[in-house]
Amino acid sequence: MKVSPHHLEFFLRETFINIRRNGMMSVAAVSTVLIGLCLLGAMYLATVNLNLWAGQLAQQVEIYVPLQDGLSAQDLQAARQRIEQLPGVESVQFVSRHQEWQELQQQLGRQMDLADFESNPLSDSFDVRVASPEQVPATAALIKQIHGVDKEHVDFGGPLMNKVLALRRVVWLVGGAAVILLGLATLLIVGNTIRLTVLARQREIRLMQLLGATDAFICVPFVLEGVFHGVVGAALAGAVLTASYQALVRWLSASLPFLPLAHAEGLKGLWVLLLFAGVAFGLAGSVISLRRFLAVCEPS
Amino acid sequence: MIEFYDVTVMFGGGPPALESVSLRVAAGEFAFVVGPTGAGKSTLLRLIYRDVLPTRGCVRVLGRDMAQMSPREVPHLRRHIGVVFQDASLLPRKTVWENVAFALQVIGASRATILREVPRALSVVGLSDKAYAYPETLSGGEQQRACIARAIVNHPSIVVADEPTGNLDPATSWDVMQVLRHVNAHGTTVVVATHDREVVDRMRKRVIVLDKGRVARDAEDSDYEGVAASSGVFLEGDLH
Repeated sequence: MKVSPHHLEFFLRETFINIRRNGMMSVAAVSTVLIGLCLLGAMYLATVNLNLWAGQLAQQVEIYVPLQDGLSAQDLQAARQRIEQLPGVESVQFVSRHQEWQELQQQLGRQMDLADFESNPLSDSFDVRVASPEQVPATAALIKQIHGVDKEHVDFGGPLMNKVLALRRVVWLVGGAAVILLGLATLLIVGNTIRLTVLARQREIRLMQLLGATDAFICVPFVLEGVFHGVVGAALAGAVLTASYQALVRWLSASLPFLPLAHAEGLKGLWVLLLFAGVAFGLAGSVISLRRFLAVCEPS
Repeated sequence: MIEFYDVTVMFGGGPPALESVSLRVAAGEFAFVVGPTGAGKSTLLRLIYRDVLPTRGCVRVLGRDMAQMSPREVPHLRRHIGVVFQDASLLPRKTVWENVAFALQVIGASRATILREVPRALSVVGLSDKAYAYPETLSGGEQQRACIARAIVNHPSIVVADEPTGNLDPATSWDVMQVLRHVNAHGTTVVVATHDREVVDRMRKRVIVLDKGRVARDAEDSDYEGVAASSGVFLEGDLH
């Protein structure tokens, strides 16, 4: 079907006549999209923030790399260079045994008599930060093979690391499942609303079929109507969620300042998601309903 | 133009709506289909515009076998067939002009075509002065004439009318038939299902009598009494 400006004018006029004529039905459709997308958007914001927290927790994990005693300055420098060259390594910080001993004395001096030790029992070490938490175990294994490293005592807090990674996985899985389920529910509601408008106008559709209109021509105003409901519902959901989220962020920032919160990035993604979902739901809901209806109208 | 070869139509498990019907309507012909309620008149008409497919047999319209036609081709066939219903089927929120123009808009006609053809069709049915009236303000006869204007605006080869005078008084029925006769005189094939005795008698056209889904009689230049008597079919008009 070739669409000329004249056709476009007809489609748009029919679409807005439908929307105006089915006023209450349009309000119901936009309301259901609004509710569905508010839930979807809230779940998205929760997922973004949980993911942010899990990511920040993971970023705090370091690999503790103790060095063998009596290393020359050249060996120490060589070990540092080899660690820095490993993939994913972000930073390598040298901590001398004297510095660490002093810090330990300061921290534990009142609880433990360090004078009992004949000499400093600690080793020189590197604190290694890795870009992605998932890379930490593999990087630690590679570090253990480097000359001069006390491989027996390399530590990256394995159990904590595993918990952090598990938390991220759970957040993704639960968030993803919730988004999919809410998406399906919204699709069903939008589809049913469009179906009601189609049923309300079945006489007109039947007439169009008998006059020789193609299915595509019959569908376009209904599909545009569905997309209109989706976009208006998405815009309203975006406005409601943006206002609510900004108020929540203001309140949480004041009462729990240490809590990391997604700001502008989270909201940009939210608008993209809502508009995409609104258009997709409107489009899919109307096409599914119309296909079912037009199939019923085929000759028996 | 319209050919039926041993056509049987069955809906569900009941008796056939049409059984072994064979007939031919030539281009430019005017034919009445008469018979009692449930005789299969509407089913026969629906076969012509492919609203129903034959269970057995073959229906050919404008040289095309209906059963062999793909769903994508059906709208293009229907653009050559104008359909008039008993209840007029005008869209209530559109004016007469808009209702007639709608038939052209839904097949993607240009604005120039609409501006040229709608006044012509309204003039043929004598409704030029009611172009901007809404259906609810029209009489039954005017509504039916508007429906005919919508059916012919696209210059169809065939016009199919199912009980077009069913709700009209005799004088108005005759007006509607005159419009259909005028359409036929310009070369359009017209098939009308009716049980309006007076109309059939006065028109003196071909009459196909259906009874229990079968063709009981098919007579050229006939009248209602003649076919009813010779076929032995008890027609609805006989009740009155």
